[in-house]
Amino acid sequence: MANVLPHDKKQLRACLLCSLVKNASQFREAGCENCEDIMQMRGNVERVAECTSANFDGVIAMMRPDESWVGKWQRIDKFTRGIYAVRVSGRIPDDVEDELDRRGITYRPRDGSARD
Amino acid sequence: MARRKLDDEDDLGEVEEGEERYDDEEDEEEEDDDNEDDNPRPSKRRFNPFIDEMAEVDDDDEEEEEDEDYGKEDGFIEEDHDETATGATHSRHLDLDRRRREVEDMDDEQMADFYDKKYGGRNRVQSFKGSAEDVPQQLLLPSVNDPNLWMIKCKPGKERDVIFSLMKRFFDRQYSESPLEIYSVFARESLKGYIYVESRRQAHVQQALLNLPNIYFSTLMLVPIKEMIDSINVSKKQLDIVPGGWARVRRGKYAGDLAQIIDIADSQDVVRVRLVPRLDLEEDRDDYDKKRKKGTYKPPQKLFNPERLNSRSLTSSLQKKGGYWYLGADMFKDGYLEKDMKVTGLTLEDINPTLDEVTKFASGGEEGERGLDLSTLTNSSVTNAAPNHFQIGDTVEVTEGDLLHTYGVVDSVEGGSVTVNLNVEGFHRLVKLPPRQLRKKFSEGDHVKVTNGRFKDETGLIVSIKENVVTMLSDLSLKEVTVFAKDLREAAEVTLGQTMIGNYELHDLVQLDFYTVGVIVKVDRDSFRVLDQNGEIRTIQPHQITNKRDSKRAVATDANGNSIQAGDTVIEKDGDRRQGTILHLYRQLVFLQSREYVQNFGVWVTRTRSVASVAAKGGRAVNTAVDTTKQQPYGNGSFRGGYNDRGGGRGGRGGGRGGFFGHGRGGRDNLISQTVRIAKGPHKGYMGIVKDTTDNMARVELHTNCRIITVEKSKLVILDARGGTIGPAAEPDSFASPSPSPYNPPPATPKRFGDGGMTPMHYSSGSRTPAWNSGARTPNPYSMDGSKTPAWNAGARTPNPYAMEAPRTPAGAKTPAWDSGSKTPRRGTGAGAGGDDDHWTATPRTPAADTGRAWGKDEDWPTPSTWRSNNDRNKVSTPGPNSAPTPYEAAPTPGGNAIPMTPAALTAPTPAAHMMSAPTPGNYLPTTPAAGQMPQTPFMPTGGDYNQTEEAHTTGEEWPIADIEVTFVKDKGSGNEYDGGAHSGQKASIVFVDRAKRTCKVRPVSGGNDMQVGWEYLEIVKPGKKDNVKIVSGEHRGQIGHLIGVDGHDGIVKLRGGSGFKIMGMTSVAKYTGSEAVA
Repeated sequence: MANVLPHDKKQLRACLLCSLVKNASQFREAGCENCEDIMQMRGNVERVAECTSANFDGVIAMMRPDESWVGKWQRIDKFTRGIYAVRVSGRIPDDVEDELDRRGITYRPRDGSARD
Repeated sequence: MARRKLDDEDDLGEVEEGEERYDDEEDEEEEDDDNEDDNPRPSKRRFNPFIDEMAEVDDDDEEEEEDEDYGKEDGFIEEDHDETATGATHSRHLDLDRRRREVEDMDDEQMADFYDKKYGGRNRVQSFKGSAEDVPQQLLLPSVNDPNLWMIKCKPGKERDVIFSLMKRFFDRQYSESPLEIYSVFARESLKGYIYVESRRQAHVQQALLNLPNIYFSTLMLVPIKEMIDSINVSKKQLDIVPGGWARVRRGKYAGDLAQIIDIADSQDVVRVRLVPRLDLEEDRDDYDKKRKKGTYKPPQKLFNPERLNSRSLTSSLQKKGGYWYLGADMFKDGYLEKDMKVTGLTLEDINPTLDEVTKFASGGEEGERGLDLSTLTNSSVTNAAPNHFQIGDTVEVTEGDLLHTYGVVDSVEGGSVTVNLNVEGFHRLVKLPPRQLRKKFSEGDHVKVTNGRFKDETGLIVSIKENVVTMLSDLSLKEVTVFAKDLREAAEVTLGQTMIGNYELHDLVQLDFYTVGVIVKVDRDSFRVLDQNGEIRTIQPHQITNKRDSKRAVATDANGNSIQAGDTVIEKDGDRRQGTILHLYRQLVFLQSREYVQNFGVWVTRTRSVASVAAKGGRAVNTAVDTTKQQPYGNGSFRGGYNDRGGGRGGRGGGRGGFFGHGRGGRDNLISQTVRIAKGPHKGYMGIVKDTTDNMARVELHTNCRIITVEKSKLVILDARGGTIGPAAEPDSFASPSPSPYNPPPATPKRFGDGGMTPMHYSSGSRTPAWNSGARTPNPYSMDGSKTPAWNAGARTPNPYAMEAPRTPAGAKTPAWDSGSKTPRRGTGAGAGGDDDHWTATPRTPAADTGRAWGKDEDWPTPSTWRSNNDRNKVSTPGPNSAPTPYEAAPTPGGNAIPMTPAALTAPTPAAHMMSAPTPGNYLPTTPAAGQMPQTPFMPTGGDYNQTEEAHTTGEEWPIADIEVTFVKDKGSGNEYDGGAHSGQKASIVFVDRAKRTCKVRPVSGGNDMQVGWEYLEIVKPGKKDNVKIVSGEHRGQIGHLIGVDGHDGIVKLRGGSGFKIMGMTSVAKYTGSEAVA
């Protein structure tokens, strides 16, 4: 579990799909705890750069995602515990978007542009 | 999986380096693993490729290596192939075979387990539900069932630390006895210094935050449910990073420089920008380190030109590749530096590039390869236009989208969008548009105002428009100014740009250096244009101005000898005969302004003697009369002449003053070059020499460290050569000259001695001594600058001795004078008698009698003040209290002022005798300063009034008091003398005063029987120096003391029992004849 927690305040990046915040190296080592299946950035520096962004705003320490309103509101209630960003700028790469489409998952950008 | 494999292969090519590689034909899984394992530890991987699931990556090295070897990879892989063909492969094959057999041996179930184990983590992730369930956010609104949010203050900038440490604490304690029971914690960048904690109970929040650094516990606020959404929804608007847009570099060599964005990385956190290079080409590489140490050195912006590199060492490292020049790590194209920068290192909002900056990008490379069109650049600069650039009513043009080239008027501006009333082929409709799609539209001839940039607030007429670039003729400089349309708005008014920097404003008179003053004629962005006294225009930075001078009160004479001052309109006597308004006077110079002249912004300087007043400001006489004490004439001969011409208040101050004036303020302040000690403030106790003075400030060079500081004059004490104190420097007018005066003025009354006692200063100084003050009756009229009888009113209102004492003796309530004397039993009886109105009314001859009557009539007369005002009125109507016929009247009248002050009234045992000498009006006039001033001062009428009222007041008082020396005089009213003049001139001592009958029992000094004499035949004998005295009027009436000295018409009295000296009018002291010890 400790892998989820950033060990450093530098080089923090947020996953573009789930907004999980970790150090860049953690993303490379372990990928994203929530979306590695789709993003597949483990061990792939470029992929990490593509699928995460250092430009994010606000941090959330999510301790009980399933019960938390913040988790619900941020749509991270199904995800693992850890640090999340309130907003991440940037979009996931096209192929990831295609993959999501194939799985019937609607992509909601984390940059705050989604309004519903 | 297939796609992923593809990726993996790419990765292999790109990422791995310096390590063995497997052949492509190798097992798929193995390759998969291989991909994750970047660590060059082939042996380990060889034996255990499956288990080693975690990537062991040495991150930092990795990145760098990757960067460096980016271009070389093609051949690299081939090399690897060669290497793998060594013997080592053999053992690996064996190993693989063994593993394959293992797999084959497994049955299906085991197989499933194995894969589950292997990909378990991923399978879990595969349940990525992310946004699969499409729940609208409306359904996610917080309800009462959700946990609450608490807002807690923390140290600004430490929000993330707090959140990270809370997360860590959560993990640490989750299996402990006291797990954190909070649900989440978050912070927003836009709200610094606060974190939000989600929890069901406040106690949980407190428990979680206990002992956490950087948290300010005291502020724990529950966020109402309604506001929960707002607290998490980051309102910060998304930055639009558009290629072609502008940014500013935050840090480093290019800090503050404008950068143009060329390209944006997908993740939006890295952009490629174009910059005007700041290359340090002149310096050798060897010097580089030295430069770095200097730190602040910033080479100038200059486009890169490979041909102009003059340093060999630099040229050698120069390479050209694909349109780019490479110099070291820098990439140049078209003379610009192109650089990948992190978004966080750039400022993207409120860039407001100036035209200057933008044109640097527009000028194209020095080779002119691809000169950029200014208009394209400006187009993109408009994309950065914030909505607040638009104002309701602006005419705008649509520059993008379907509605391109349509025009409209801004209807409203809200948030990030602008509602425009578009005119589409004659139809009007409201359309919401983002500001970047709009451009302000102007037409030639419009009068506009600049809202932004270097020319901010200037107005002008548009002379030409080219796309976004508008050229206008500035109203102020009459020059063409080129600005962006977005920085303009239509404006009817004409402004001349900003008019103020710091304390200095347009048209202020400022001191530039010791010898030079000037008038600010133009305020630029951070400098002033100043017209100095020589008529030259200088550009001055605000810090170069020593101070601002105030010439509002300066007065000078024009060519015709009329006085002029700031604000007057004058015309030049010769030359162009220009007419202008006086801005400032400075010595013999006058700064004039007229809008009709453009030269030097309509300001010019000339001599006061060469202008003539056109029309003086109305009400001048009044103004100056009132203000004379504060006037600061820049003295010179002609000036003083003019001054006297006005016949203003200053001249009226009397001879004593005039003389002083001529000598004291003629050239410069006498304080200059005096040795002083600072008596107050941070520099208290320091000694120094006055270098320069203004109205109320002095620049003092301290002895101790030769520093010059500015100190208020009032805080200075003048010292003599031996360091002895001469006196305060506070009142330069009265005391600037420290010439030794006979008195080293006692602190309470410095001025009085300073200017010779007879001047009005006397009174103002008097106002410092408690006696005068409290006796509000007398000095005030003067201190109030001669307004008619304010003192009376004031006196009437303020509690005066009479009023104070009135309550003590009922009878006294009616006759204050009596009361004041009511301390002795005799008086008490007298007072009782005074209650008898008959006697009062019975003396109609004198004003006092009148007042007495008036007073007597009104039974309920509650306060002596009314009485006094009444009295006052009566008196005023009689012009000659001075010439009052009865000696009685005469005696007290002028003394009215003075008498109350002297403590020793008891000295005069024979009133009659003394009265003779005292009572003549002539006597008085000199005594009261007012009288002296009368002829000269404009206040004359007031002075006169004052005099009279004063006397009226004093005559109303019953001066006779026991134990004072009096002399026999004629009754001024009737001209009769007591006992046919038998005793005329004799001196006597009052033994007993019969107030009811207005007589005194007197005992002649020369001996003889006591006589009963009417008051009107008696007059107080003026005591001499060192006599014992008794005060006959004022608040000290009845007190005895010692007359230390006589100064003109004032006596210096030391009251018995009192500590200090009191200054009293000589008319209020009488020679004491009693036997009580005075000391």
